[in-house]
Amino acid sequence: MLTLILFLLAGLVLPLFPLSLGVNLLLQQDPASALGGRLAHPAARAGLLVLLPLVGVGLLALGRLVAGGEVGALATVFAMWGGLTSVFYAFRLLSVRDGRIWLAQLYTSALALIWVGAAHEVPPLLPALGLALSLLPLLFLFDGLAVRFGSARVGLYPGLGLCMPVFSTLFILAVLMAVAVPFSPGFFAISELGFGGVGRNELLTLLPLGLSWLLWTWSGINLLAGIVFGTPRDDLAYADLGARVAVRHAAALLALALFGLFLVEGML
Amino acid sequence: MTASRQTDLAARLGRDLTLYDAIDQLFGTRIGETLNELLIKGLMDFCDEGQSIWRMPGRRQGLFRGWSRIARRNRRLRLRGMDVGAILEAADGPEAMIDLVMSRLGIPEDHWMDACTLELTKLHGWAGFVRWRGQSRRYYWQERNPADLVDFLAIRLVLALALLEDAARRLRRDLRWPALQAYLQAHPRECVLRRELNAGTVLPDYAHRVELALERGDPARIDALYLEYERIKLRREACTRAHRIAAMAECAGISRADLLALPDDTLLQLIDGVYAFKRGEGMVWTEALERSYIAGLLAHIGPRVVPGSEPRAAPTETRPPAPDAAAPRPSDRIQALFCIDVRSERLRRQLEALGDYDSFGIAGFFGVPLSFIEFGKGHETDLCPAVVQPRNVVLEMPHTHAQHRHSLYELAHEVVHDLKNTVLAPYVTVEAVGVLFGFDMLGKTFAPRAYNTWRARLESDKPPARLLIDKISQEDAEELIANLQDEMILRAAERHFGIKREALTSPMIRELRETALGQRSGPTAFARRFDVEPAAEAVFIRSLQLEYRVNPDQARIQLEHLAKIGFRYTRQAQLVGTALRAIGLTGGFGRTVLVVGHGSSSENNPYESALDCGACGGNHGLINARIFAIMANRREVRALLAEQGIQIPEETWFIPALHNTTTDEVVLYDLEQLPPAVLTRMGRIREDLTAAGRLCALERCQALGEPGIDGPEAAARRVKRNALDWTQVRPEWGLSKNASFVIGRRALTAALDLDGRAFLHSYDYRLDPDGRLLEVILTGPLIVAQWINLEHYFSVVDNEGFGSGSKVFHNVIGRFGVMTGNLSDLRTGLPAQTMLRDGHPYHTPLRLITLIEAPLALVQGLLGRLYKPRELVHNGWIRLLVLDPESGLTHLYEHGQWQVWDAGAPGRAAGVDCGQACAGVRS
Repeated sequence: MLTLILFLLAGLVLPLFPLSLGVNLLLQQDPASALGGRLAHPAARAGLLVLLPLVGVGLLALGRLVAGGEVGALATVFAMWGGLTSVFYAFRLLSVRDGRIWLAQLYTSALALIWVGAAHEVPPLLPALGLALSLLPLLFLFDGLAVRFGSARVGLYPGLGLCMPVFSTLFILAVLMAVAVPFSPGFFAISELGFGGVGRNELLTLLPLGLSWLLWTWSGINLLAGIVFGTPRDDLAYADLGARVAVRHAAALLALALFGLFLVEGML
Repeated sequence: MTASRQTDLAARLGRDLTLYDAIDQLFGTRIGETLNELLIKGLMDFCDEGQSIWRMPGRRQGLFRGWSRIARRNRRLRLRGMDVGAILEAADGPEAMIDLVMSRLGIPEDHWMDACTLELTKLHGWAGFVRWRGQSRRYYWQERNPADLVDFLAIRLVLALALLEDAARRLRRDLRWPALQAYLQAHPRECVLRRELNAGTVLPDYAHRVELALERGDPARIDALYLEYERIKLRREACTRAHRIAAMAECAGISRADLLALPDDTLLQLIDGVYAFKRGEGMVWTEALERSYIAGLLAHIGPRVVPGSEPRAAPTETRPPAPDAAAPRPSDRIQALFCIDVRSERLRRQLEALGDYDSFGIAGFFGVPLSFIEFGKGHETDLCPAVVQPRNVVLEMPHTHAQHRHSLYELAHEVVHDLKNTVLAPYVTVEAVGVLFGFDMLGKTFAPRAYNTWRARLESDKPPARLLIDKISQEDAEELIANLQDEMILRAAERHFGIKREALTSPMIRELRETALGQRSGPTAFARRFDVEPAAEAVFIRSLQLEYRVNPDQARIQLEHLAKIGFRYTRQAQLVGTALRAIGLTGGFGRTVLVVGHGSSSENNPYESALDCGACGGNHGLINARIFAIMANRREVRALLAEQGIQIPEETWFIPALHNTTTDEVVLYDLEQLPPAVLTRMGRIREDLTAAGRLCALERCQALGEPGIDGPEAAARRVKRNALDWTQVRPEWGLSKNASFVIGRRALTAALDLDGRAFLHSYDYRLDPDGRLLEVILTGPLIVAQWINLEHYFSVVDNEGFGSGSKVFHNVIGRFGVMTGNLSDLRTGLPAQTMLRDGHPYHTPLRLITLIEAPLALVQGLLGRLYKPRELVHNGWIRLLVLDPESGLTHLYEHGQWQVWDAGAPGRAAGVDCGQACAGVRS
């Protein structure tokens, strides 16, 4: 029973629908609201994105410990639940236009997959970190858009590729990293979850992983199509990233790529 | 914002916006996008001209009926929620369908015309292609699979109705015209916010709030948000305007303090004035550019006109006097007829600079409109401007009748391509034959010249052929048809009865032919000789009539077709005479007259015909040049020309040539028909042409920005490589930068470097007192040049809209057009690679500046008579200048009246270097 409770608590932060509503609400908070105001700075959101999975992984480990490692049926149920949650949120991503909501739902869809690996005793820490950290560059770049235009949203200021080429280059890389293209940390995290579980139950493992991954990529392309490509509006002022900020972002992306290699080592 | 934006959508509905456009903007649906996608897919299937392996069935029924048959059973449409079948059941025929859809959507009848116009402009490339097909009755695919704009419109409306009905179900709203109008009237503020959000014009920081308010649908909240939004938006727009005005004032030298010191009313007037000016700004710049070009051009040409110059007998008199006694006799000078194309200007200039050459400009079909049937091709190609309907057909006939045998290479080529084009074969053969394509790709990419030379050696040459340009007499034609019918009878006898030629006599065949043609009746000697039963004989005769087409109707049709082949001598003399008179070459003929057609050569280039000769319908001009030369060399034709006053000396030979505008090589043709004495002159001419071509190549390389070119030879090698390189997106600039059309004597422009920007048509007004020759030029070459000019103009001012965007993303579709990506409107106009360099316009958008050297009264009289040229000039599509040699004045038609061009007028000082018009004048 205690294991179930601990798993359910973990399901709040390694989100399982409908327990995921809380985390989603938290991450989607409008900066104008009281709670959102406290989380207005991107560093605070970034901290949340990294901290929440760690809490979840801790609760998961505790649940396993309490059960003495005998969590077979329960873990399978949670894995199916996690898989469904992931696909559900990935599907919803396709219609999301607001950057903050997009990121929150991608977080939910990605972290729910931890349950798929957990059912097959894949150590959850590195995959959870890999998936969460992959979202950070995009979080900061969305914040950059919100600062410039008042909102980070698809379709409002298309054609950034023409007006803000440096920003757009980094944005493309960040989106690709967030949707776990090879060789981002997210990709290695998914690989680890997949390779760990595929020997035990191919369908349960590969179906949610594959479907979610496909949908993330699709929605990532939608995101790029609505922001980077297209014809710019002439009633807006565009300011590209300064050299120093651009270098900082590029360095962060590089660091994450290196972290991906660390994950590979973990897998091996 | 309040008043205008609230009523804007309602007022534009039906005029600028279709019903689904308005719904897309209000409710964020994507009906327009989906509709285009579905329509394009249907059109791609229907219009395919042999690219698809599995072709759309039922195309012979026409576009609408063929598409309807498929759409009724299309499950993918049903899965999308579209009940197309039910709509199609409700009416029969495209016209009835249009009526049905308009009525069902509740569109008022007085808006139907606008609605149809709007629908046709949505995919203007496809609509244009269908319209062109509909009007091209002789087009093979149109005859086979008919399509017209009514079909196009009916399909579009059926799809629109199905999508709107589906959207209405999903949104749970009545989306018909009256309901939408009522909604717009009842909820103006909500509609403004909806439109701002879905059309992507919302203030970014308000987007989320607007979306939430609209989702919740609380009228009070929407109203409150609207008021706030309106206030902020107006404020920001005012700020933007103020910043722009301040920046402009700074550019104009007005300080910020001075600007702020102005009274509010004045400032408001200033802002309104500036924004009102925006609408006409483009035309101001266009006119400034044009005036600058005109000033530069006239600065060089004007002084060459001597007022009141005396008429003369021959145009060669306009040539500058020979500088020394060693100058060649007039008959030793070589005359060369070139196309008016701007690319000929460079070659003409370089060739004349080498000495002993006089060049003339004439429309590249040399005044010979014809349909050409190439040996081995089953269709006619019109080799004349699109405004001309050719009445004569020319055939290419091989000298030998040897059986054409396939080489091993060609067999392998066919096998590989057949495998590639079948549906399943590529899956199983990719490993086996893929490497061949890889080899091909490597060769084309890394060593295009060597690889293409090697491949050309492998491919078997076309057998030597002659052009059949003379009329066939009635007797010859009847004999030809009889021979053809006899051939059919022999085949039929062998197939039906296994009887070979050896067993048949000529009278038997003749008797069978006459029986099949209904010229006799009763049993035939054939039946008696081979014991054929009467019933079997009757079946055989019927088969001859129906299957083998040996019947009176077919014989008549064949006779009509044969009657089109070739030209009578009188017609040949008329065509040659008119062409020579039009360019002022009626005497003083040299011993050699080159007739230079032009064409381009490039690899992997769907736009190749845009680089070929426009006067030859986008084809190479060689055939017309060959035919013109054959005609002009004919003794019978020369005799008839002499009667018209054009004496061509016996020692004069017209020699056809092809100017390759990509490589600037000029190759002489039909030399085997020249007498040996004439051949001895060809060596020098070839050398001259090569030298002039290399100098042109050097100019071309500079224009293309080719690095590392240190001389004419290197330039010639580079341009040749460009022509063979399949990765080259810009083998040449083509007619880009075209700006002017000079109709007059060569003396006006000789030795002037016009930078390959001028169409040059030779014309001597002194030989044309009644203006008949000028009329031909104004109604033919001028129209073609104006089309070319405007095609370039629109392609450069809006390359995505009127041009075809970047070639890099283009795909050839159905062997008839080009799309961007895998699904788009059919691309019209010219690609970015022809119009832009490094993202900036290479072509200068000028309307065609046409300069005519002729008395003003003559030109005015012609414009009064000729509808099309008059419309073009009076409506400002052409800038017309008349250089009156009698008064020495230049007249410009501008703003509805003739004005004498004043070199010191304000336009002259428009701030653009007039010298750009003429890159330089050689001393």
